[in-house]
Amino acid sequence: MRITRIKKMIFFWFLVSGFWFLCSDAYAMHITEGILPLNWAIYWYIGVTPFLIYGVYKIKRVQKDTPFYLPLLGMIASAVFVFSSFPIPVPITGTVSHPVGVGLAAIVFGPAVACVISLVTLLIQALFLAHGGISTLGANLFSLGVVGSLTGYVFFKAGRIILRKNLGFPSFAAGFFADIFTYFFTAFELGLALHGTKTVPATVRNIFLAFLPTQLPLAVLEGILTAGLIVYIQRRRPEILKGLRII
Amino acid sequence: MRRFAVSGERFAISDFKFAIISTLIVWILGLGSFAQAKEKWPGMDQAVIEQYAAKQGRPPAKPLVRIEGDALLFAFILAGAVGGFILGYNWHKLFKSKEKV
Repeated sequence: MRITRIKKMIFFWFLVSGFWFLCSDAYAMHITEGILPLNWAIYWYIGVTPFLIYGVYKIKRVQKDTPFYLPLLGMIASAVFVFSSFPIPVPITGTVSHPVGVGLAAIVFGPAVACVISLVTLLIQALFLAHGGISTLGANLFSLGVVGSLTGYVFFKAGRIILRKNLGFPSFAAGFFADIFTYFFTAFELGLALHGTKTVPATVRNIFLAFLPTQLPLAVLEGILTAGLIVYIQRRRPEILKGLRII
Repeated sequence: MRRFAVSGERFAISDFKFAIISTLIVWILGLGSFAQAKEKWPGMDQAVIEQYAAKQGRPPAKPLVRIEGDALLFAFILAGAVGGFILGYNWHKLFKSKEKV
């Protein structure tokens, strides 16, 4: 009886999310095509390459000995894609933004693999969803796949050390801070490339403060979603988290 | 638990569910208050990044693959459906199937 009700709620949730997809084109942390000067675009591409190489190497290495790895990778990667394409209106500000999802990927697979997942997500969005751009892919990937995932991973590990048995709160912190730091670093990238006559810190502060009112409630939502999914995996199949040395 | 009665029939919902439903109602009502705005629900890209970049003389360029109008809606729906399918398929494989991987 209870399971049927949960199934109905999940169905309803997907139905509502489908309507949200219909309502608006999603735009948020992505730096749009053509905004960054060429030198900065190349700089971020170079910066992100080592993380991608290590991420691909890690996927190849771990999936050989871990039977559930590829289905889990598929599930989490598509969750990151859906989260980061999911436009959520925030009534307080009258703007639309989206969660980033990499906190979840970083907890489960580590930051390097989360970076590979981010590449796939951002590439599809840039090519087919008018979301970001090819010239700005390196910069978007650095903020989402490197800074977002590393932040999520560090906060999760720190939370696990401090709270030991608790899994929900460190996961919440990972989701929340991965989201906030992704936006902070996007502001930093823009500030570096386009500060004009102002100083870089002043530009970064102005852009980040413009992001915050919309992004803060979404970061809380993302924290709750991340914690919910990790706790769900722990309850249903704890051997997955044990096999990946998360718990 | 909170208890309600509709047409004489009684039912109860937990405080947690009540909190979620109340938040959703407030959220949805809040959406309506901005429906009259001139610029309706701009994304953060438009509201922050593109505005700032345009001020600095770097307006956004057209995307490499130009999908606009209803074709973009179709692309979003398709992407959501494919993403949802892959998510559900692997979730079923991991958590529901009798022969779990």
